[in-house]
Amino acid sequence: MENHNLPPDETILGELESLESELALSAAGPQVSALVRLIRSDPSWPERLRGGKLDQWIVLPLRADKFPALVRLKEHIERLTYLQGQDALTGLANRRGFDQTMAMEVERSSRFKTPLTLCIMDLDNFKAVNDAHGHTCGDTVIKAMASILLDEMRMIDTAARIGGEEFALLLPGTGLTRALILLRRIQSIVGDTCITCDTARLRMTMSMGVASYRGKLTPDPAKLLAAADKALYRAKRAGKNRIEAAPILDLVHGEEPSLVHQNEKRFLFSSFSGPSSSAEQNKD
Amino acid sequence: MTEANTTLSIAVASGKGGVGKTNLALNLCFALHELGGSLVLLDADLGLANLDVLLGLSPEKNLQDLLGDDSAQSVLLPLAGERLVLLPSASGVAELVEMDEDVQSLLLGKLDALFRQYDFLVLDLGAGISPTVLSFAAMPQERIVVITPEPTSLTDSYALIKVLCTQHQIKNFQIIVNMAESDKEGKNAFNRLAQACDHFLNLPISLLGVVHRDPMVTESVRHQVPLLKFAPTCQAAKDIREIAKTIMDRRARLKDLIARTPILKPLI
Repeated sequence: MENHNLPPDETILGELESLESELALSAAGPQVSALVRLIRSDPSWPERLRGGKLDQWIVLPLRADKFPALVRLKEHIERLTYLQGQDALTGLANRRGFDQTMAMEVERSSRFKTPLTLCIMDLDNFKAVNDAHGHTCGDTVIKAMASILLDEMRMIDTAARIGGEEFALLLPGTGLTRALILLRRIQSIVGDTCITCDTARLRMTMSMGVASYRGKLTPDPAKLLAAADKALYRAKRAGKNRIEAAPILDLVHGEEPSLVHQNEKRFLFSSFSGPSSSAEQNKD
Repeated sequence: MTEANTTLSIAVASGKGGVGKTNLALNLCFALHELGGSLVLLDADLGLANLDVLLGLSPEKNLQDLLGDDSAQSVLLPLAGERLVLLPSASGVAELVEMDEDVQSLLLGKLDALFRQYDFLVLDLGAGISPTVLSFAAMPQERIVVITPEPTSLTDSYALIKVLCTQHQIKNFQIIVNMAESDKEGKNAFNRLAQACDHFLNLPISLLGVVHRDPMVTESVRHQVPLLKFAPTCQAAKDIREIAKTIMDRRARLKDLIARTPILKPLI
């Protein structure tokens, strides 16, 4: 369906060869040609990408004026991975994939009355990394974080990259107490991981916001996201590198922001015309 | 068919900390014990293991150990022989709220068998209106809300009653006014709360009793000895005994209702 948009194979191969020779001329080392060959000849490259061999990859700017066919091919691949629900850089689910999984897990949670927990994570001070070390380095950091998530989460969990430096972890069948055990572990591993990028050695932290349904109410994805987001905001405000949990959603359902209204307070304090009421109020 | 239940379960709650709730719950237990009742006191006050402190205890096992092979006897701490025992819960209580229904009903089943052997189950809840507190406040048959005449205590206890009433459909609350300078001050505080509950929640609440402010309470806490043992004849001790008598009568009067109400209702 999309194929008719793609340049013919010969054009792509031609551009790849000239790219390869250009790279060889700049003496960038053996990985560079391996990279190019891999794209050209190995149909299993997405698996390799996901399989943790990311260290061998180098991110290169592809100049559209010089390699128009490759740029189009790259855009095509990105579009396909997006449609597939995958984030091209990390191999995690992207926003679209995340939304699909969320819809399914919400259905599962409401059908089987199982808990569902969502954690939204945001890398702390990520912009500073990009500014100081460049976007290539930023990408390395993002990939390192993604691989920690993939390593630590369970097979049934879903990790997604839902924004530039924002991740989501959806934990089906898991309540707040158990989720926090996993999240604290991730937090400590992130803190202990040293990411090497060119000459820089970076240590990152993440802020996390968690929200849970106990499985007593049908989860509302929008509410779950909003609650996790709000908790994340609190974690950021409270000094970052923290985990903040929203109140369990099916326990606070329907709760109003202010529990005791002004008119109720007035009733408790002033409108009751009992004896010596004013004297007691002043005591406190 | 199991035998009809005879245990009256009561949660002692307060919207606000520092109103003397835990101390009151403990001494009520001693007073009920003096009157011949047998009791199990469940420490459901999370994190702040206050009961331990009040009694100078450090329990090794807790509620959750009941799920394993530990016998009830090895988990329970006698406070005054076998007829007044403490069931420590430590952090186990928080998890009970989150437990899946199988484990929860397994534990509730074991607890039920245990509690049935006593006349009363008293749950000492944490202060405030956290989800865990609300869940536990909703489980037993009756609820005592401890307030003081302070305005902040009134608002916080009103908030607790309001949430339990509107979100958990709980309609029976009994109030103890603690630390009252006089009977009049205590009743006045109760009346304000009662009128607000009546006016906004259409909910009648009842006054269980007033406990006077008494310097012996602080003294007894400092000595880690229950007030009823430390100063058995002081005003506060008398007030607490009075309340215990009311609760004893209530249990006798509500025999039929208690028989068909579970000791702890599973969480919805």
